[in-house]
Amino acid sequence: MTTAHLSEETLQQYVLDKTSANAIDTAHLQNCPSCQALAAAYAGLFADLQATPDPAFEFDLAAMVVARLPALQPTPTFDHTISYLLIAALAAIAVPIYLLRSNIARLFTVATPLFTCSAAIIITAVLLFQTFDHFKKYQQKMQALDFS
Amino acid sequence: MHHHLGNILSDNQLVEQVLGGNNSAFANIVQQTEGLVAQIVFKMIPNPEDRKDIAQDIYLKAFHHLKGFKFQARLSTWIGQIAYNTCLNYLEKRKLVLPDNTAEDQDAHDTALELLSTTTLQTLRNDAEQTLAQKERAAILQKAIHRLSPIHKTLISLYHQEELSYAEIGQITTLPEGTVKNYLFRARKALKDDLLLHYKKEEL
Repeated sequence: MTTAHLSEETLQQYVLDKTSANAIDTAHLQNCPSCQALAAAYAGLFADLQATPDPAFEFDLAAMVVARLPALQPTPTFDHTISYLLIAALAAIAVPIYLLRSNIARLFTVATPLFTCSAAIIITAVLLFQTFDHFKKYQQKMQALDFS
Repeated sequence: MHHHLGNILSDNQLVEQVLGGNNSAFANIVQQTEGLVAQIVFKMIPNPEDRKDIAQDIYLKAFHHLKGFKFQARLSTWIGQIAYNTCLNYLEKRKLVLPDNTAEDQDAHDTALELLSTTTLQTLRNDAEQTLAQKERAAILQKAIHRLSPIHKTLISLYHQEELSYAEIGQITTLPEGTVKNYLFRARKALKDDLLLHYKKEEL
């Protein structure tokens, strides 16, 4: 039998889990009153700790917290209707272009370059203006929403 | 022993409901984790008046960061981590994170060893059990726990009352598991030495 006493860490671990001690330590413990007494002291301490009443708040914490929560905006779900409309709009543009492709090609070769450039500039300007207008309206709507 | 309330709704379902705009689902989260948060707050915050504000702050932080919670741990562990960090910040601001009183610990340990040489621990404990009622022992233990540092007190509660594993405690406190074990070992030893000293004084 080893004469060196078990360390307090070993004793603590043994009290928490008796299978954690090796054979030598277990043999020492069975024959050493001092280590047995120390193990018993720890066992009593651990039992007393576990029996200690749990602390509890003296107020309704859940109600107080919920009263301070902002009203959450639900996460928007993706609307498939918009996808279908976009596809329909693209089809409404693409199908006539395909059917009239030869006439459109002739338009760009027969019409004067000046006319073609003017038409391109006007169309581009209108598209840019509409995009800018939509973006401004979107910004105004976002500012009107209260996220506080 | 704190009983972990059985989840009627899983963590996933509760979080989804809260993110969907259902604030009363968050009340469920508060009720399910309140015990763990109370353990941490009561052990780390010495001033009872501050506990009310801190407890609310903890859950408001949890609510605002809920979108970023990716279930890398249990919801209760995540909220426990917020609670611990919030309390730690409070203590650090007020310079209340007490250093380990290693010198005092050593004195108590030396005195306890002297007691061992004069009488056996078993005799002391038997005498203490005969003379002290359970209530008195509980009061003595509470005083001994109170003398521990906030971090040691919290670890003792999380392990022995909340029955969390070393790994879970490590997640809440962001301490390595080895450090958690070491702190717990020292805290238990300090409590044992403190109690032995008290039993001896009672005998005299």
